[in-house]
Amino acid sequence: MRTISFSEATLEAMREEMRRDPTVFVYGEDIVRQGGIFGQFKGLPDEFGDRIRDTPISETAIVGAALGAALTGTRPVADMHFADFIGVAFDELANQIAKNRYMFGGQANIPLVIRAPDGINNQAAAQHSQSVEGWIQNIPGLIIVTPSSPATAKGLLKSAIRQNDPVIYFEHKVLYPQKGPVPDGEYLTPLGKAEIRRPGKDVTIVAYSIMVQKCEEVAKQLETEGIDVEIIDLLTLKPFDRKTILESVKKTHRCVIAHEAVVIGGLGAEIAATIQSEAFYWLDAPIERVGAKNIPVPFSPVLEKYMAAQKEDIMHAVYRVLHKEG
Amino acid sequence: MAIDILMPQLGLTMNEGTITEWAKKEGDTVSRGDIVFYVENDKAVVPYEAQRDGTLAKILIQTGQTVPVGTKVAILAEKGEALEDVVSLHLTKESTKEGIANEDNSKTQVVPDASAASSSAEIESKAKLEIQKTIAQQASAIEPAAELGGLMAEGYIPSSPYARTIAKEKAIDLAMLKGSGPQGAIIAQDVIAASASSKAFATEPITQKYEDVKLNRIRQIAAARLTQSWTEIPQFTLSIEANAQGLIDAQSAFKSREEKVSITILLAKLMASALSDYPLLNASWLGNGEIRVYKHFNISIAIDSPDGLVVPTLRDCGNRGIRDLGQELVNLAEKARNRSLSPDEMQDGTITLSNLGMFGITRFRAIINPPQCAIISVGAITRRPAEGGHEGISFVPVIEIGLTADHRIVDGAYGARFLKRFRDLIEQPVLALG
Repeated sequence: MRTISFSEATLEAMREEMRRDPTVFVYGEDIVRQGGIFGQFKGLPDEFGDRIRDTPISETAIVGAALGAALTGTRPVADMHFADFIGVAFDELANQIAKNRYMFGGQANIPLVIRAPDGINNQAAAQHSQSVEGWIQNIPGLIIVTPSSPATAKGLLKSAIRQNDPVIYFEHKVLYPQKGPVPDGEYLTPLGKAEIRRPGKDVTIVAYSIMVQKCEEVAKQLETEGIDVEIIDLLTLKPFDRKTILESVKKTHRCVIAHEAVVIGGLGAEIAATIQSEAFYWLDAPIERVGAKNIPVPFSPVLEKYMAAQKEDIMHAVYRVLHKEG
Repeated sequence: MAIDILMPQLGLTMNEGTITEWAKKEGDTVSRGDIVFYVENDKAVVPYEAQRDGTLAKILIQTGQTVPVGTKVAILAEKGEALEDVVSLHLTKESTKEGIANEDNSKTQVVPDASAASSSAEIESKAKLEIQKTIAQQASAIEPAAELGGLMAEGYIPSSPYARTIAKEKAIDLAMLKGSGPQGAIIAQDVIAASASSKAFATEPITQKYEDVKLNRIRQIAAARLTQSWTEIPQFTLSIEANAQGLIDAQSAFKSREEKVSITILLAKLMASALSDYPLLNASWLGNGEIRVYKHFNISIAIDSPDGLVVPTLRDCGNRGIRDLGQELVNLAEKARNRSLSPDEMQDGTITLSNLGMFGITRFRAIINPPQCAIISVGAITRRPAEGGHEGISFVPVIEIGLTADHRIVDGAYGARFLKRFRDLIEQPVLALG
């Protein structure tokens, strides 16, 4: 076990997969010359030459070309620079990539990965701070993953690259410099499988990405009050791990879902709907969702903090499902 | 619940509005869609339409006044609410709220825009307020406020799904529980607590302590004799209803002469008379193919004493008068209460009379007091409907007489004939003279 940063962990994943499979290649804006704006591609050009390429500033071209490349039998990893920009290539993503396998009788695999750095970080404002999994989750045919730590960043990215269907890999910008333990040697983090970060018996918190660590801090605080929180780290947002969630809720009878994205139409709604339909008779309180308010991310640091869900919001949601406050 | 009417936000840039006219006055009935007041912003004068039905309970902002968006301008009482209650309740609640609102208002005036701000905290709170307003406005524009009141159907027990699940498992009736959840909803912990307490109750018999009690002598003798009776005597029971008016009249006749005679004594006397025609009931089983038929009617009277049932003997009821018998019974009962009955006084009974009417019992099956052949059981006199009267039905006093007899000595028909005779005498005591 080593302690490395989230960026380094993704670099390791890229390096290992590119060495392992010559059809894996990477391209995007500013990733060769700059090494990626978060350093997540640094050093790759030295080893892999033209298998890592800079592109013009056109997400339409990047994502459209990824489909073509995948159809010809390679495994492209396309970088979106910021997840917010994925909207530029929405037709390629939603109408071409997601549907190709289904519309053409499964003639070809679409083994492509779109890496999309997301989340609120240092006043990046409305167009560079979003968590847009909600946009994507309504599209049949796409797999969505998001790591919460260096270890899961590496394992999930390797699994995504080996997957024969398109995977959107959201990586939270705040996580890049964070360090954490990463296993030595080869390992994969399976797609579609959540991990229980902290076992508990009183309340289930379903979280992912940056929210997992916020929930862990909240759980530590609540532990001093005698509240035993179980934290589920989703890792794969679609298709999410219903079994782990339902088993946990059937044990704790209370559930809080926390994500940085806007609450309305967010993944929390989908998870809550699943719980109520499949574990209704095990619920002792309405499911609480914690997330951002229904406004674009403000530039003001004060308002940015106000708009986004904070640890206090998670804590109060836990109190509410425990009927400790109204 | 009364409804607060707030200064509406008419357009994104509107921060405050002026009420130019009240179209309704206090006490007016308001229907949804009615124009309540007109509000002027920097662009136009716009009517405000009521969002709900009700009565305009109180106008808080008068014509000509300018207030920030969101300020409470009036209170609407819903149907069935007393106006003065609504107003007083809201004014007491409002006193603090309004203070805050005014404060905000003054800030807005002091700091007309962010560039002139003297404190960043003021800007923050103002900006947060704007966000809240925008979000609230977006929400209210899309969905009308839910009315919680009508949703809770009568008799519905608000409870969490899990509470219902475990209540079902543990067979606990939710209606018996008090909810500690939001809005009084029953949550799992309420069911678990109830289950824990009922479990404690259920396990009590297992750990229950007991005491071995030594029976007194009377109880021991009674137990032995009754077991003997129940196991050795093939006994049968018959019962018959009698109109008790004759008994009541007889009692009244004595009463009018200031003499107290109990129903029991009247029955004992009439019983002796009836027995004279049916002597086999006044007998005892001897075994060896013989029975003993007694010439005197010594009636054992069942009396409830502090030590339990005692049966002193009222001797020779056939030949003695009612006054005499009555006096003796009073004495025997007194002695029974004092536990001073002598063995003599409890011997030589030939048949038993047991009256439980004073407890409201109407009918019971007695057990023979060996070696006697029979026991008569008497219930309370009750008024029951019977054929007769002007309307074809009338209420008559009825007494039920039971006979339990030793089938070795008599048959059912013999007992039935005796009961019929006894009934006739009860209904017409004068026949006893014959």
